[in-house]
Amino acid sequence: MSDPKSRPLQTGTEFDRRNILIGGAGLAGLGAAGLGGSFLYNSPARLVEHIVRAHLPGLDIDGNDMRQFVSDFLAADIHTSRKERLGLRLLAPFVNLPPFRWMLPAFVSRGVENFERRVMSEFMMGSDFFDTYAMGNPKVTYTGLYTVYEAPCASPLPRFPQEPDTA
Amino acid sequence: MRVVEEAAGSYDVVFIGSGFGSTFFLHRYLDHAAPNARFLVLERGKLHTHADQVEMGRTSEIHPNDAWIDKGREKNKTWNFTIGFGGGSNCWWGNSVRQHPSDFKLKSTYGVGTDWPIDYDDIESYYGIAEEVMQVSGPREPMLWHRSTPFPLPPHTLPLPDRLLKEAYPDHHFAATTARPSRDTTTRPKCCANGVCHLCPIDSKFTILNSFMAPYEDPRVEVLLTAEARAIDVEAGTATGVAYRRGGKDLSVSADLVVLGANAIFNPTILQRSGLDHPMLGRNLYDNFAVFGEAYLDGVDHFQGSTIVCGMNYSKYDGAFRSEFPSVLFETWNAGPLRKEFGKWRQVLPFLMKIEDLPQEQNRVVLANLDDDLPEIRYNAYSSYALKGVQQAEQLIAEILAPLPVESITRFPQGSAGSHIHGTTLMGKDPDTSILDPDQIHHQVRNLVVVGSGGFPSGCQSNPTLTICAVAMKAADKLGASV
Repeated sequence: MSDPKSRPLQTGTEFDRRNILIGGAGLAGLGAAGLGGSFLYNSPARLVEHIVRAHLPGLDIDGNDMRQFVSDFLAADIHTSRKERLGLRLLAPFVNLPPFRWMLPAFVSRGVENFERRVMSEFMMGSDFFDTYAMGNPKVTYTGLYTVYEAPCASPLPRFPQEPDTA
Repeated sequence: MRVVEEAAGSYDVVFIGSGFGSTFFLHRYLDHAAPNARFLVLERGKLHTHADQVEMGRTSEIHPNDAWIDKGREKNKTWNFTIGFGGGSNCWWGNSVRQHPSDFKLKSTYGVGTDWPIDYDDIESYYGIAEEVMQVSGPREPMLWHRSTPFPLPPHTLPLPDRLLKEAYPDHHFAATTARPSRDTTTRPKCCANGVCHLCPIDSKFTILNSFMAPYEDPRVEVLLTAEARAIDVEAGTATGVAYRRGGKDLSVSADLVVLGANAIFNPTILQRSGLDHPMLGRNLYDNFAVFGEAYLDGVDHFQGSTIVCGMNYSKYDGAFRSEFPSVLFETWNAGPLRKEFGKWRQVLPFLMKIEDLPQEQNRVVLANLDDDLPEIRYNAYSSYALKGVQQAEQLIAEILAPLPVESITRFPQGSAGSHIHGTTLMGKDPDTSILDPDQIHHQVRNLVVVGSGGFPSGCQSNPTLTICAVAMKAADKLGASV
């Protein structure tokens, strides 16, 4: 068990001189590569697919399923502005390269992290991921975004045993 | 329910608002009233069924932010409430928490804040009644303080991180006490942990609409919707009725007793318009400071729980530290974004830490002009007492979560909270320093009751709903005994 007191906490407002300097240098160094790489992810759709595949090695998913997920995700993602999506595309080559992540300014890194988590959360919740990939089977089927008002009790997460009713 | 289009004649009791305070008062008072007694409930909003609310995507047509003017220096502060039949029961999340006995005796025990004019034992039995009405789920084991009745429903299933916290804090970490039922009730399905509570998709959390319409189905009760109470008519220190606005017309209705249950923002506004000004009226608006965040865990999966707020941790809630440092109620949440790292998808624990604040006179609700429709909220700052806790929030969180294999803790940018609106009509024994007496009866107008958390002198780190209900029922019994 690790001791949380021994580590500095990441706070949502952390943004110091060190981060700015390192981030600036990092961005300059990565900028060219980023611009080049952005051609590989020259659409939000490619970026989203890249994020999923980069985080789930060996993922086996039907092409139509992936396209549908990407389309659904982008249609539903109200949290990311067009400007932010452009920025994310520039950073796309580095989304799954943790060795380089530290070079980004804290707020940029946090934004990338949040976007990646939204993509991955929606993919995992909107597919049979927890019955397949998470159990060692790479074949995943997309079933549709988890929309709580349409299927309120369909979350795959709370798989709890029913306790005896003592009421 | 008798929904009427106009008030007719005089009434024994006129209620302003149909939220928790009014409804639980009505429930209790009906037992004391004569068979031919007449009750009228003035509700400013409409009655939106659950289906209507889902269709609208909100609990009321009136957005809370359109109902007041922000004139405070604390710009991140919002205030959450529902204007509509059932009031806050539509938008609350269902956490049903009893105040700790020390919350009632903060001044005499720790030398800070203000004592309540009542104590825990005065309302203990009413807590039990409210829990029964709401079918509250809660722990089987004893909690930190006395209760005379078991929870009506068994506890929700704890997810793995909460089970570890329970092992580490056997006497201070509990399954959440909540009106999100752990089992089907006669009126509601059990909570299925879908993580959306402000407007539950399956109508599982307790609301007045789904589970407590009995008081309104009493033939003695009439309900007048879209009727905005403007002022209480007072003559020679006695409330004689209520002036209200409906359909663009200014109207009035006479009453022998008035129960004011708008909320802690609108109650002082109505009292101010009624000419019942007081140096403390509208002042001492306060709310807990909310710290949201998440902890990345190492090797412990999460989200197996059966409701959104699964655990409540009281390890930093009460003790001698409160003489200098605020109490916190720490909630573990069973919903939130997953992680993206391979194999660690579920190893994240979202949390909310609610930090106690103390009332300050500078934070207030006021009508700049008596004819104004919207009150100004001049909320300027949390107290220095609360800010001590805010400044040490990271350390507190780390200490509470120390029993878990924590990789990292992230505190999110400041949330605005604003869901637990306290103060503005404080209870007290001294008419010079308080608006209401220990039974929430107005010190100067003895046939006027002001229900809700506006009367609470302290304890905002605990969700106030259950106490609102308990104190309202106590007041109803007090007044009803003399009927």
